[in-house]
Amino acid sequence: MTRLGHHYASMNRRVPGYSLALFRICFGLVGFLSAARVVLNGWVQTLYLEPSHHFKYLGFEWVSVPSAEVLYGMYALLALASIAVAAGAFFRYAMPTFFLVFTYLELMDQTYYLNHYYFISLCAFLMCFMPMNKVWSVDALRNPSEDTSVGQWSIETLRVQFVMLYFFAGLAKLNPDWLLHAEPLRTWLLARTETPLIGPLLGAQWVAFAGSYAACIFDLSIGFLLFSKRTRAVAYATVIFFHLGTALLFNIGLFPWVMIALTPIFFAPDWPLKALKKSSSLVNPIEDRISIPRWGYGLLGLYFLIQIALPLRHHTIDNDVLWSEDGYLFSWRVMLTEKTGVTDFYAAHPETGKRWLLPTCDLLTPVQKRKMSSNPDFIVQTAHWLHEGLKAQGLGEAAIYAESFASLNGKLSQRMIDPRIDLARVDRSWGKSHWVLPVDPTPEQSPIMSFNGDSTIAIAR
Amino acid sequence: MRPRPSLRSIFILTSGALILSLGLSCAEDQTYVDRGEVLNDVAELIVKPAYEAFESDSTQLQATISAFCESPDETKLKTAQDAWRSARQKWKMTESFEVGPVLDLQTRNKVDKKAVLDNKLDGLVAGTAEINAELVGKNSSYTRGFLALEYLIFPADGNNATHVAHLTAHPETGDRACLMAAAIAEYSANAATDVTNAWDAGSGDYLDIYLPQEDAEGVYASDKDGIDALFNCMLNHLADVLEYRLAIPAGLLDSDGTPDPEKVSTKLSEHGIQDILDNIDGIKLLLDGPESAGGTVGIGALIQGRKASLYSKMLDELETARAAVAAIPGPLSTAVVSNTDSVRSAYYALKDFHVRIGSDGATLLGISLSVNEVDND
Repeated sequence: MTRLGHHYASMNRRVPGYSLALFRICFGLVGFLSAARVVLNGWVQTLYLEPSHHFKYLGFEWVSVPSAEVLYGMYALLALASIAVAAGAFFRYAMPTFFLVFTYLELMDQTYYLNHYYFISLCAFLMCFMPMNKVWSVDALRNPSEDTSVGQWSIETLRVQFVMLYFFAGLAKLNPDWLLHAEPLRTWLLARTETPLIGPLLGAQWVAFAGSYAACIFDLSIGFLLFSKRTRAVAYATVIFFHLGTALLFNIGLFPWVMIALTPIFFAPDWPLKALKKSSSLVNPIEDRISIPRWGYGLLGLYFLIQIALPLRHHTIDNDVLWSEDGYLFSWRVMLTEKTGVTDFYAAHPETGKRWLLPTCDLLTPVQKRKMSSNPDFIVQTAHWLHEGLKAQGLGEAAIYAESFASLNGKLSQRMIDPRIDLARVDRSWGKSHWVLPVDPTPEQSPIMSFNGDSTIAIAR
Repeated sequence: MRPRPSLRSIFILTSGALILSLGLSCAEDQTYVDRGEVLNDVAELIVKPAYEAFESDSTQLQATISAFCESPDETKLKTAQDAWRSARQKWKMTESFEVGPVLDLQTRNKVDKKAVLDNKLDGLVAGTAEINAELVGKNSSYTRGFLALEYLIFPADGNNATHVAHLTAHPETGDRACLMAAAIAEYSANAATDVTNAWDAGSGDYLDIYLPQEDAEGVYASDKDGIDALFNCMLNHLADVLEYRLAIPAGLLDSDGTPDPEKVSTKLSEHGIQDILDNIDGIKLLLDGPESAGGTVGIGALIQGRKASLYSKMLDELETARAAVAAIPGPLSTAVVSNTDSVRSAYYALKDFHVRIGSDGATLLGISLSVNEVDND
């Protein structure tokens, strides 16, 4: 048997479905908590209903925020689908419902993009094709079957998804800011020195450096250590320690709990049963293999190829990924940047050429404005809205320019957007954002920048 | 085939990385500054004294207006006007740290609305209702505070002698106008006392909860939240100064670029430029603390601890902006029309500082701007 054939056979092997069922239960509960906290914290109102404009994902501009009734209804549906997933009730319908509703809600406004929500969407997508309701489910009670097994492929698929997240998050940390300056971790730790017990330590520089290197090594290696039976237990303990630490120190919502709850998928498929001191009565009495067509594996391979390509795509773009954010989305760049900017917009009259300052406070909420000010794509979207607004006021095809400065990971701020480019005429794309000026790695040595409000003045660099 | 990592190799790798990180950490020259201590200094050395000064000058303003009302003359009017300028200066300097009791007590509503309804104020003066501080509190906030007082004690033509003569020649309205000014001054002084007391550990309890003890919860969940709130307040205040005090009057937001002198407040007292200077001084006070402290004791200490050269640059830029504002030939309402370039230059100079503090300062301190309740990752 060839190596590929052997691999194909092992993927089709039947294994107990208990770890997959536990994954499903935890996943459903996390989904429910996620929906509940958005509603209970009033975020439906403040994040989605109150803003007059929403930043759109490229390619998903058609996703809009529905009316309040529909939006609350969608969150209710998400909560219901989450419970159904956890309970394994009507799983065939509940899981796709969860995936579609959750993903739609996330696509409504790019301002709130989070890597772990993206991760949940990906897992939800994969779970739609998996037999996760074989055991410990309402479905199993409704349709009792002796077959409690699942294909090894389903467990391996989820494991690989985890490895991808960790590994690419680690790969992204191999950058000068992280390794040579311990940024942005240094900044974040310094802000948390009042933390009980460990607080005083967090102000020490060596802790920031040690933490940076430890996090990088953790991310790069943990996926592989979880795969190996010899190191799995220690690795999982490290996962718990690492994520409890991040939960204690940083405001990262459910992410640590998601990872702690779902990572046990790396343990043996029957570990939940063993933990309950019950024996596993595998397996399918008829045959010990399931049959997944090769084209199914082909599709899965294609999916993972895309998953590899997305985090690496920035290498094909001649721009600094952290600065321009070209190729930043969907690439597992977790906790890598402390970036703040100040951006003002100017319009130029199409006939007279006169310039004037455009306020954005009526257009954007404070949270949106903060995100926009340091995000080149959001700056272009805002310029487009301003342009449309002026057109509606009868000011014709006014040009829109930006005076934009940003500081990345503790470095001195520098001009981010070329002030000579009319952003109203810029098209968003997956490629290079040509309106973003190149980042200067040593801004301290550059001439002092100056806000001049006049794009006709040559830029300093 | 699955990878088979060895625990020993991982251990060696980790140890190597730790040694490397220790080496790198020695190369960075930074000073650790405790956020709790900074919050303490801000409260004790900046906020409390600033409100005490505001209260003292507000009480003085009340006294000078009462003295003027008892026997109006030009000298007493001038004294009252000077007291108004002094009290307003103290208030303007507190605007960069508008957190805590000043918000809870709605002090701004009581002492400094952005506009005054002069016809409504005229109606009150011409009416028959008994004029006192209670009446001031009951009426629209647009008929009280500094701008209402300015309307009553600064004559439109700038001629104090004529104003005094007019008041004394028409005692039926003159007395009531004086009474109204005295009542507004009393109301403002009371508001100043309230906010000062709230910060006083003896009479109010805000200082205790602002600086939480180990066994009690504070106003902020953490020292970081406290610093973030102060920083965001200062930044929002700076954005307001830029937009409302400079950009709008100078016509920077107008598609024709037409200046709008009507948007300059305190036209009667010609205090527009001084207001901006006082605002800038308030920002410097929050960043650096009073000169008497002999060093940086404000939130700037945190920036200085991270990058002293940046902090120094920041203060230089603030000083440059101050000089640009001071260079505007007054009054502001005239300058926005006849000397627009000087106002715009001041705007750009202050904007440079805004970029520096809003971008570099915020990044260096890891400040969560505004009410960012969403998660991070």
